[in-house]
Amino acid sequence: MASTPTAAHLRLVAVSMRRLATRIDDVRVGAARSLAGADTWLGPAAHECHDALWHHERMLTWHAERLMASARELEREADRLDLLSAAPTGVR
Amino acid sequence: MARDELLAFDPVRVGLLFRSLCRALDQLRAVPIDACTPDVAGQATLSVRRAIADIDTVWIPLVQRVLRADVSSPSRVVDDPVALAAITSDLRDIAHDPIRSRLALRTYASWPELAAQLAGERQMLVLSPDAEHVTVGEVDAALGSLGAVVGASLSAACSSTDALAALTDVSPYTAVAMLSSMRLDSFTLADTVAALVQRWLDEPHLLQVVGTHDDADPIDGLLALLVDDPIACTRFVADVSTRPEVLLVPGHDASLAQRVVLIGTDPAHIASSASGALVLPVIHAVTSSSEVDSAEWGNFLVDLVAPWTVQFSPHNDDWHVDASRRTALLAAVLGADGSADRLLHAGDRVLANLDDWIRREHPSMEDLAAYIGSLGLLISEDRMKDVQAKKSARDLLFGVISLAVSALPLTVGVGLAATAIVWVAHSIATPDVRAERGMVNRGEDTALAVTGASVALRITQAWQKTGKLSPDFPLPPKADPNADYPSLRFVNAFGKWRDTLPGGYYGALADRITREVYTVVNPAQTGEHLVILMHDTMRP
Repeated sequence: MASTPTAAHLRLVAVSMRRLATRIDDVRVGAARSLAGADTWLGPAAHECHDALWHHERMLTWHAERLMASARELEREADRLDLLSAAPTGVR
Repeated sequence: MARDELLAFDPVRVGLLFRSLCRALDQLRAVPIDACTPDVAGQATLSVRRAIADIDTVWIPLVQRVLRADVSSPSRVVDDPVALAAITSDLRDIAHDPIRSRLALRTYASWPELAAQLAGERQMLVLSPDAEHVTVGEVDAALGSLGAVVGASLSAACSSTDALAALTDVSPYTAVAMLSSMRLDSFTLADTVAALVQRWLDEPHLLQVVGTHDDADPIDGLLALLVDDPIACTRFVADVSTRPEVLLVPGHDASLAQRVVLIGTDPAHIASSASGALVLPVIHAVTSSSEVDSAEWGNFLVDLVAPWTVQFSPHNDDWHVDASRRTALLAAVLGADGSADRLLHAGDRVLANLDDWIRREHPSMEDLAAYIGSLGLLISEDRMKDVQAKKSARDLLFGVISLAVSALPLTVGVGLAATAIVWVAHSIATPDVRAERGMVNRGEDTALAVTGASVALRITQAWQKTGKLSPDFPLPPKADPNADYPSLRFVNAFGKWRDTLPGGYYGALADRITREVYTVVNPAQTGEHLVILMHDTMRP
């Protein structure tokens, strides 16, 4: 069954989102964050660095998950469009 | 923009952090940030860009500066409440783990500088609290956290040498503040305190450094760390027993030193065999010092000896110290004005000491008599200032006699033995007076009544225990030391009670107890005493 042009576009975007999510997920800010604690250094600057890396780590994780969820949603929407296009006229 | 204030760092771990940040930066730059158009991807790439900018322009440069050791002094930190709270939190976190604490102190070689800065800040706060941004509580919390890290860094089997080494480079005030948080075991704490006290007294200039302009003297601060820990108190007194003068140095809180010694030498915390090595040097130091205020230390000395009067008695050898030396020290304590009255206030401790001795060693009749005699001399009524004190002296002595009688075995003829105790005691206590007067005095009459009553009670309780007498049979009468004629009153009451025994006046029980009690006090004596005492009363 041939995909409709719109559904095909949605799938391309979804693939792109998954790739982006995977690349973001591969970023190891957490490793740096775990090295930025009080075992390494002491002082306000050390605190700020640790907190900043913690913030970036959480934001990147959240965006990666959100991208994956959006990709799944786009793929479901593409599947639905394909089903609709394959159905006999009037069923819609 | 991050501030550069850093107190300390581990160069190896900072190097690892640098490499980790660079790797993260490379990974972030590898993210295809222009690939997607939807909003959700746009927001994600925005976060990636921000992370790149932050790590690239702020944190990697900071780490590079740290690796070049281009960081600021702690002095800028201790005046900043936020920074101070952060440091306190970090240190508290590290202190939970001994391994982390050891690593931290090895790495943070500049921690004594931080401690000194905190002590200096505290001094400034005391002098002008409104001019500073932080509070004493915040500084103390930081110092406490630092102390907790130092304490945690020491192994469970650490010695005071380790603790002292950790505190070598800090001021006395700082040492006290940190020591209170180091969670040392009792022995190590006591040894460390003893060593610091002696060091500071030997080198008084050490006390003239920052952080001491407070209401608390550092030496007092050290001693205050001990008072809630009886084991530490005992150990501390043992530590300074070769140099007890350190307890007497003027300018410090004498009552605090006294509390530590009294807790440390309390029979609840130390065996009688070991107590002499602690008690006697302290007495010698106090009584031989010309600088000691006797008003300040007199009562303390009496409180010190009160739980150990048995060990001072002539026949006791718990301390393996010559009797003449013990007697001389005790005489020096109880020779002071008011000392006998003070001892009477501690009468329960005297009796507890005797009770322990009796239970533990079952002393002989001669040992008991020697003890009672020496104690009787020390608290003789003649030394008491007022009527109440005289009564207290009698009560204590009679309590001692009752305890002694209760320790005698029935088989030896308890009445005879009790009498021997009283007479031997009196002969030790007042040989010349008795010989000269050749007559009874009121104290002796009362002593005989109390002893007779104790003998009657001892026999009755033994009978009740062995079933010869019902457990609910009334106990024999007690002596009344406040009666006009105590022995007469007792003998009369005893006779009435004895007639109610099973078998009556002519029964075996009545016969036995009468023989024992009358060995101590009998109607003929009471008549004699009555005449003498009445004669004394009527004499102008």
